[in-house]
This record gives sequence, C-alpha cells and structure tokens, in this order.
Amino acid sequence: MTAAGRNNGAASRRERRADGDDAVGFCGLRLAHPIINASGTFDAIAARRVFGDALLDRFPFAAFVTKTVTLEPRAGNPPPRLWELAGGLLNSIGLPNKGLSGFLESDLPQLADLPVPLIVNVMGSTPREFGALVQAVAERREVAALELNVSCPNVKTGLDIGADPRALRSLLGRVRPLTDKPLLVKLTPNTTDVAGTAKSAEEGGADAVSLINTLRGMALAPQTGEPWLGGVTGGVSGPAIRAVALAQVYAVREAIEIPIVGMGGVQSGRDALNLLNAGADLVAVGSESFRDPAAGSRVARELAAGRSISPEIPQTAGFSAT
Amino acid sequence: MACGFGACFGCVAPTKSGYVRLCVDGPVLDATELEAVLE
Repeated sequence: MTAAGRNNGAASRRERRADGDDAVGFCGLRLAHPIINASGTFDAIAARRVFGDALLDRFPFAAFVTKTVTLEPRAGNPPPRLWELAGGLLNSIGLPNKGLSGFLESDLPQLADLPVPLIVNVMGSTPREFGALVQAVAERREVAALELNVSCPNVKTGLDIGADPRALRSLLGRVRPLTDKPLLVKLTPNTTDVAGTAKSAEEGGADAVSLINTLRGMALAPQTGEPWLGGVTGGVSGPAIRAVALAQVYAVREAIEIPIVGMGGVQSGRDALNLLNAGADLVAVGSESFRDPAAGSRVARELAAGRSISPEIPQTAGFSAT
Repeated sequence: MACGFGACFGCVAPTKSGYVRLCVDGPVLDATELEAVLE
C-alpha cells in the first residue's frame, strides 16, 4: 500500500489548498489547522497563568496534548534535568504529574476551557495500569482522544512496550475495547524497527500513531566526568533530531494506513511541510515552544502561507506576559 | 532553563512540599520551605 498511504496524505493536502481552508480532519476530529503540540512540551495551565486569556484567544495549537498522566502522582527526576546540546536539548524530567485522581479533579476542569480538542496522554507501568487510566480518562466528556505513552525513555520502570511489537499488540488488545474514542500510540524511536512497532499498533486497533519521541542520550559533567542529569540518561529533542524524525515517519508511512502525527525538531513551516510530505497527517511542535510559546501558531501560519521564516530569528510576537 | 513559562519543568527546586518550578512558582521562595539549602 506504500504509494496509497503517501497519496492519501498528498490528496488531503491538495484538498486543503483547494478550498482555501487550513482545517483538517483527524480521527473524526475537525482541527483548525494541522499543528498540535508534542506531549510534555506545553503546560496550558501554567501558560494561562503567565499569558492570561490571550492564551485562549490565540491558542497556538489545533488540539492540545497533555503531559503524561500516570496512575499515581510522580515527583519527577532529581535535578539537574536539562542539558543544552548543539542543535537541541537533552532532558530528564521524569514525568512529574499529579496522578490520575489529581488530573481528573484539578487539571481536567481547567483544560476544558481550552478552545481546541483535548488529547490526554497516559502511561501505565503495566497493561492493567494502562487499562485503569484509559477507562477513567476516556469516560470524561472533556476528552476528545487519548495518546498512549509507550516510549518514554526517562522512567526507570524497565518498561519499554513501544520497542516490543508483541508487547504493544498485547497492550492494545487490553485497552482498545475500553473506549470508542480515538487512541493514538506514541512510538519510541529507540528501536531498530519503528515500522514494525507501528504495524503492531495498527493491528491492535490504534487509530493513529505519533512519532518520534525523544532519542536516548547522555551528558557528562565537565568538572567530574559523572553523569550530568539527575536521571543519568535523558531524551534528545530539537532540530538535531529532525532528520531522524523524517526518516522514521517515512518508514512508518510505508508500513501502515492509519494517520500519523509527525514530530521531531520542527521549528518552521518548512519543517512541518517536510514531515507532511514524508507521510504525516498532523505535525506536532515540541521543544521549539520552549523558545517561542507562540511557535505553534507561527508554524501553522508559515505552513499555510507556504513559506518559512528563518528559525534563527525568534518570532515571539504572539504573546506577552501579563 | 529551557522555557521560562512553566512548560518544561526543567528549573525545579526541592521544597518540603515537593519540586516547584522557579519560573512560575518562584523565583523567590520561602527559605524555610526549601530542602537542603546549605550543605
């Protein structure tokens, strides 16, 4: 089906241009444009404290993906959590979150104010935990879709379902029957066969896959030679991984029919267009939002205009702090 | 620090009630709330 998959994407892009509208359909959702955020790279609740209602008036993304929610609260990894790389960022945040109950009671009502569909990212340490998370989150009407984090390299559970096609298939067998809402699977790039894991996700009933998550990396403290990050290893993101993302999206498009959310180092409309041309249906902006909180809007604008503003020049006109 | 607006959770400091983000919960914190200020 290789050509068909790529042609589908191209056809829907032509359609968008033809009717002069940037809107795009995704798993039954209608999105204003094809740019969303990567999980964990934008805290809409904190951003609203900083930017006020301007955030809601000019929300940078066409859908909002939450930071990963786990069953129990997590403090996250000890600092230091970040290390700057040439062309990227190494992080070991460790999925701090309030846990399922805290999310449902405290975060979800605030996220319901956002003007875009809400996609809740969840991670369990066992299939049973995943099941409990999916069931509890999916039944909430504020939630449009769910994303399964099967790939985060920062958590010391030993679990990496996303690198094991059989484990992934088995997980989907458990959670797929629990909801009719769209289920996205966030794939790990830390595998020798991302097309194989994507295929497993599709066969297990996933509605879409998202890729790439961060690549496992490490930094040593110059003074001591010891690991810099509190979590020892971390995830590499940013423009440095853009070429990896393109290659993996391209390989996955060859293997599956379901929609792809492509991400990895996107800073401009040109970067987004490249991922769409490689076979993605939506594009997520991640680390670039750290540098420019309005990056999602800018990338969408550049994509719609068919141009690319140089990422060397920060374009921060979108918001000002309250 | 990566973002400065509460998104990246990179700037956390340890307090008695857990890690807090210096960019949105600080930068000034109550010293008596901090864990291990002096070593």
